[in-house]
Amino acid sequence: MAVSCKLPRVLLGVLLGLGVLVAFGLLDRAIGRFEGGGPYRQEIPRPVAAVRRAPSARHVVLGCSTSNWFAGALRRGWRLGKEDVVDAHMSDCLQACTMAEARHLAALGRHFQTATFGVNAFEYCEAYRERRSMQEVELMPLERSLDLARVYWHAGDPLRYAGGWLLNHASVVYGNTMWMQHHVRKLWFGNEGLDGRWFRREAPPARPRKEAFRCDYAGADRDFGMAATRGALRALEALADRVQLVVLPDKQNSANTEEARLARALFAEEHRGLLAEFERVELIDLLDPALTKPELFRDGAHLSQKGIKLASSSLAKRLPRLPELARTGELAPPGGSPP
Amino acid sequence: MSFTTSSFFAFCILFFSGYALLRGRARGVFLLLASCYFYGSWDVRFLALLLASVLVDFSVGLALARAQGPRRRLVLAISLAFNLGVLGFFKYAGFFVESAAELLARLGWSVPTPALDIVLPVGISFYTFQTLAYTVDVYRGRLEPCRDLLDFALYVMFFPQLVAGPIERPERLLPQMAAVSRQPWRPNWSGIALIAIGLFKKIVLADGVHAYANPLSSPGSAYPAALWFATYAFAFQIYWDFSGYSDIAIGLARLLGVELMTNFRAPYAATGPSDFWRRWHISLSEWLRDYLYVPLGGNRDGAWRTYRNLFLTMLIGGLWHGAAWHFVLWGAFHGLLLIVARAVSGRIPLPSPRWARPLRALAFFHLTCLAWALFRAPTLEACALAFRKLLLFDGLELGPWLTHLAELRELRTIAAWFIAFVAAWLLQVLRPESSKELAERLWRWPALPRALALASLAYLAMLLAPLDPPDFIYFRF
Repeated sequence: MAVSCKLPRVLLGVLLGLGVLVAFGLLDRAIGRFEGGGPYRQEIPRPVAAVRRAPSARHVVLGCSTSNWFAGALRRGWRLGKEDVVDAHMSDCLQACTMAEARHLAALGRHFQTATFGVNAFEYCEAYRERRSMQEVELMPLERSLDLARVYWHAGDPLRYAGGWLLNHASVVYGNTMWMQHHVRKLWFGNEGLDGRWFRREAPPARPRKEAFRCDYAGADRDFGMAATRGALRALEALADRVQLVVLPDKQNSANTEEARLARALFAEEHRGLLAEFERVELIDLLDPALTKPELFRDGAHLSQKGIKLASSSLAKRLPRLPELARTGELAPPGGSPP
Repeated sequence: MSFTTSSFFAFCILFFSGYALLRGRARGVFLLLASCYFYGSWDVRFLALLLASVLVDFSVGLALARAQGPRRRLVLAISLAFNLGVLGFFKYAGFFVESAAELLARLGWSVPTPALDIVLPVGISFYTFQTLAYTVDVYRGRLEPCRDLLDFALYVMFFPQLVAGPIERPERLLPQMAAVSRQPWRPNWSGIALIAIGLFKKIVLADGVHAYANPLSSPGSAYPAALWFATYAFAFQIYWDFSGYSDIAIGLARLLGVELMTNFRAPYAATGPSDFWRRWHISLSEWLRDYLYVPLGGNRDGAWRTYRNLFLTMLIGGLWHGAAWHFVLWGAFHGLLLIVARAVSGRIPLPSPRWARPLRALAFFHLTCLAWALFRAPTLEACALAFRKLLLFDGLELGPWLTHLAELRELRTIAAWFIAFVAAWLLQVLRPESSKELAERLWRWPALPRALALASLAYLAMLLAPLDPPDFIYFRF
């Protein structure tokens, strides 16, 4: 009895609390966008707006920051104009996020001749991050949430992703706009004692520079990563006539060691294996000896300017021939005639 | 699966949905399965150890009911040997082996020591004490043995308090666990307020301040004034962290209709060591009193025996926290404080008017801070160095430190945290209530201000959460 009598009152309280939370979230989001405070959240509308601003674009680039040089390579390789290719890559947007972005763009009614996205081994080593979860949850149309659930099911801790999804939808704040952290805390408080200088007479001894983006691909949670890549390819097939999956090198696995060679081979083989499940996906393997050199990287995952130049030229040369547009102006069917 | 993760949020949604739908024994079984999942999410291997503990102590309870005369002692010895053996192996084996080897090396004997890389099962210190309380109470005849394995398993494995307490007593928790399968669900919704308070304490306050306790790890290079600031920071970090955890645990239990004991009651308002231990980690200090101090003789055999018993109890209490000498030293320090307080009690007149109470609390708070420096410093050498600076053998160096902070643009952060420490201390002294009382008061507010207050706490917790939050401090114990 006690439960049934009090429950409506408690539910009302909870709903009221959620309403207040959403109001806080919306306020925070508005301030965050205005002040440039929430880099991860602000990244979400940027590529979508880029696609909206390019109504005549026939080729789209997705993926994370490791794919940020693809657009130029596509234009050069296919001799296209600037307006033909839209760069919709998004910082921090891993495979599940690319899947959500592709579904989002498809829901906006867009369709492309080709969609290109890249992955490297490092992306299979990423642990759960609230901000990444926020990007995919916000981008994925609600009616396609099961696509995310199918990917999350393969994670080591599916509840963590499910919780992130729920919190993002329930609060609007979860995942962090970082406005408070970037602006109030840093501007008002100054430094936050994190470097350990505040209490020492002398500066602390310099720590050896930590090698960021280390990844043991063979030991990574590849089941989850592959499920996400598979989901992304499926979503991209719905967005474009042809999908180009670019297999990218990373610094650690570009080393001239037996371990790195084995990891590269496994990475490439597993992605080639994926193709059997798709009709309209082409694989472009950039793990060739000219590009697998640690000195071509500015950090563990991103190519340096020199590396980009080399990779861009390599990608332009390896692009499959472009299917022609049909005379009606509509896109050619999959596997259309060569130019 | 820590209380502050999104996994736990999803777990709660699924768990409470199932719990609300089920009735009778199915509900009890569901709670047990959820507790197994919760515990197994840390390391599924240790679930077997936990289940073994349940089976051994359940059987011991039944055997104690049947046994007569000296056999009862034997049955109790089996339980003690199992529980303390498991705790000793997983928590203390490496420590004792290393300490013995070090001692022998100092005596000139070099003994090769095996590398014991033993992983500590989460919550082992807590659930072991809880099962020990059960077998000892049955042995003493203060408790009828539990005859339902499900009820007993829930008593040991109840997920809200499994990992870091409060360490419950069988006479309080067992009947409530039996009620899960036999009575209608009667949630106490003020648990929501307790959970919100606990999350705020942990995520915003404890995690926010944790970087400022770091000087205690390397006191050699710190300004003495900075070291004092660090001890304040750690005193509040550990309070917000552990009491925040306890609030969430008690809040979750309340939502299930279970009332857990109060674990903290404004500890920094304490005016002396006995008062402190009636306010800090109450479930542990009461356990130590009833199952260690009193069996040792308590205060029954004269002053010196009382002092010995106090000291031993606190020494073991220190060792309970962790297998390291600085924890032993921390326990010894508190033991000495208790002995001195007892020795001078009634002999030295202390000011008793109302205005003197905050001053006594402030003085004792600083003694507590000295003890926290021992707790936080990683080695005995660091403890000695920290004490040298905290006792101002090198001066305070406040001016040079403030200049240094101003140069680094850290002054406002330090000032803001210092104001937070003062405010938190004043709040405890002026309104020495537990979070339970605060939550109940908050829950009686009208709906809109209550929703606004709770949503604000939750919002700040989400917004200010660090990217890589540290785990609860007491999960290590």
